[in-house]
Amino acid sequence: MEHLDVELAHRLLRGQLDPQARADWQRHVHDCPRCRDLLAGEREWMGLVALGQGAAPAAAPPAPRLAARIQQAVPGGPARRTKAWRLSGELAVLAALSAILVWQVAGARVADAARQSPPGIPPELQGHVVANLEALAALAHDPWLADQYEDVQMLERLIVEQEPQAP
Amino acid sequence: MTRFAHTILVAAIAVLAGANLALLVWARGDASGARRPASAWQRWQALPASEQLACAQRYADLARREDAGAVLRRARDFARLPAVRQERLREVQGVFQTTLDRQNAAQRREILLAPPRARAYLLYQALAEQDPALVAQLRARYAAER
Repeated sequence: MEHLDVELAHRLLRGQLDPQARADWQRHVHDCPRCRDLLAGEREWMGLVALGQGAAPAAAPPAPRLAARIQQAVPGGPARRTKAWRLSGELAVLAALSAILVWQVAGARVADAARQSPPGIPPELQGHVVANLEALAALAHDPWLADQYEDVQMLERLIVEQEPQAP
Repeated sequence: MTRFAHTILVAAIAVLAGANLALLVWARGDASGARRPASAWQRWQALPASEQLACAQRYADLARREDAGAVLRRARDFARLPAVRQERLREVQGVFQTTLDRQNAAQRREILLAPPRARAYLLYQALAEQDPALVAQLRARYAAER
């Protein structure tokens, strides 16, 4: 037995074959994967054509998933609108991330420029000075801290805690 | 839009997000490092150039001392004390200096050459002998402040 062609498949699906030929082809389709695939494809196609014409499918309903995809592919349909929204969202995220990146790079450059050592101060020395800025400021205001801090603390304790000696 | 273009868009978003995150982590690590606290940098940048130079000169001079680390530590400790306590220590230092200046050369040498604890004690003895009223007044005031 030969394989199904498109014309035969359509006739089979529309019930236009005589009962004997129909039974023979149905047996063949049962055993032949190639004809089974062809028949399934044509059944879907016929369903879609019927859907596009606004009519109920003649022979068999189209595969639900494919029908849904076709329906959504209609211009201005829900799928298009969803895609457009998703694309807009993605582009907005992309733009926002780009802006943040530019802002961060610019900020890092400004910070680097600000950290360049002033004239007359080597960069390494500047690092030490900045790390000890608090202590250096205290020493500038109270130079005695360098040599007398512990003595002064001790004297303070003695003044507070030492009992006055009897005259 | 093809699936390929969509994939490129999503990949670009992922790459940008990763770059942003990496830059943020790097910037934070640099700014919050113990060696370079951000607030110290801000204060440093706020100083006029002449003050920056003076600070650098002060550090360079100090770094020549053997006990530079200890001096810096003491100064930092003092800077972190409450203002009231700082003022009190300044006052005691004034008393310390006045008492020291009041001694004759031999006594001053004896005091200055004594070990740290003994030095403070010798000075306290001299102060208590020579100006007991001041000692009593300071003691009363400091006790009241406690």
